[in-house]
Amino acid sequence: MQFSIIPKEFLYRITLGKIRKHSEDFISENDLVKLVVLCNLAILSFFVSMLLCYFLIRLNLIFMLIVSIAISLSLFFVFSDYVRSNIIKKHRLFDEVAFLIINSLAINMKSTRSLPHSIELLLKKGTTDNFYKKYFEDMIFNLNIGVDENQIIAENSRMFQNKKHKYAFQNLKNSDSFIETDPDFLIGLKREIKLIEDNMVIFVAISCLLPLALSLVLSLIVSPTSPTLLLFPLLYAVFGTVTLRLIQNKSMGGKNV
Amino acid sequence: MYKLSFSNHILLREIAQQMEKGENLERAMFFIEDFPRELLLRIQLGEEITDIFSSLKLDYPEINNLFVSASQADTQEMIERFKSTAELIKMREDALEERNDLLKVHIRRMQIIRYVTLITIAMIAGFSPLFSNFYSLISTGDFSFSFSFTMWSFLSFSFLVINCLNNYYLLKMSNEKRIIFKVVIVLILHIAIVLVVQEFFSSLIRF
Repeated sequence: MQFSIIPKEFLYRITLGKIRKHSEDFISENDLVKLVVLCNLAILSFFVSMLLCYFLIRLNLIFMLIVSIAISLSLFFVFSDYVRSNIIKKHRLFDEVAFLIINSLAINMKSTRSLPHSIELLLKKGTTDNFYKKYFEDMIFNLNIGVDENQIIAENSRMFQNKKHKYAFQNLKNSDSFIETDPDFLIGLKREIKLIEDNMVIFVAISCLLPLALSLVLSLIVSPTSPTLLLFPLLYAVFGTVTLRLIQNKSMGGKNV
Repeated sequence: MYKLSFSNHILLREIAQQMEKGENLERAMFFIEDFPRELLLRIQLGEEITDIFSSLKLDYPEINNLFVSASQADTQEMIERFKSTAELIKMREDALEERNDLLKVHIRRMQIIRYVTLITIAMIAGFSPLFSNFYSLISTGDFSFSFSFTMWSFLSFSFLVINCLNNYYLLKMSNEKRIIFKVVIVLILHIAIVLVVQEFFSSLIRF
């Protein structure tokens, strides 16, 4: 187990946020460890930067605190957001092939008439994605220890975010689980384009011009040897990450509809 | 890994068509044009069809899963299902292509914005010694003509961080791959531009 300075539950809530529910199965143990390490590193960097500020730059106490908090927070936010967006990417890649997985399961069900066997066949060859491999392996394990099949199917359909895929998976034991059309996918694509179009202008206006203009002004009114200048890029790091995260959350919200 | 010269849905549809004519899965592969000859040889040697598919580089590797239980299933139904899956993949590919065309414009725009801001911020960072003199002009009232050219002032460091972050966000916005690699390139470019600008600036002042 990894040692975490702040409570893990709280840490996961602030770093993963909405995706904790949305992409539950795609958060690997490794990701969680990374988050804990990042959090510990951020706290460590807080103290290191305090020491540096005190002994090297001789700042006053309040300023020293503000600079160190900004350094550790921005470090933590930017890198944890990187982990977070990797999880989202994994989920998106799975979503793109979900229809093929369900269709192969449907074919396997047709030919074997048994759920464990058809999942085993699915796993036997050509699984390139370790995530759904592990996920289905867990399913087989549960089936083998004798959990009710219907219950397993109902519980595990959470992996598919697309409603059509979810229903298809829930109806795996009936013969109508085969996916022939996929209108949600097309709608999702259109939404993605619109989201990028809408947000690009806002993001470019805010993110590119603001740091440039402000850092120019700041450099004129603040002494070049003062560490106040450092505050600005760090705040920009937090601000930009939060903006991007909001955009991501928005696009995730759209997917569920 | 072998790569097919045609797209995945065509492969699936061809297999379905051959199976409809009464061939089995293995024999169907022999009737597909441009199917890699080495793989056909391996089928002749008796290798399983799923192994053959795993050594093909497919856009949708999960297609392989469709064939796992093919030998046990009712052929007619299988053919129907292969066909409709092929149709689905085709629709998706068309939609994705359409999206990529639309996005290409945005991504190119984003790329231009990225490079322009990269160069602008780096150039401003290169001229940063000037700002400190302006600052002293504002605070003390006289402009000194001695400049300190250094990469390690707070100001140039903050410009460096802003440049990297800005590029990182723009890369993330346009969903690009290998983000870290590109950010490292930005870092190197930034330092190079700053050095060039400072060199130019210092030589300008000497005369």
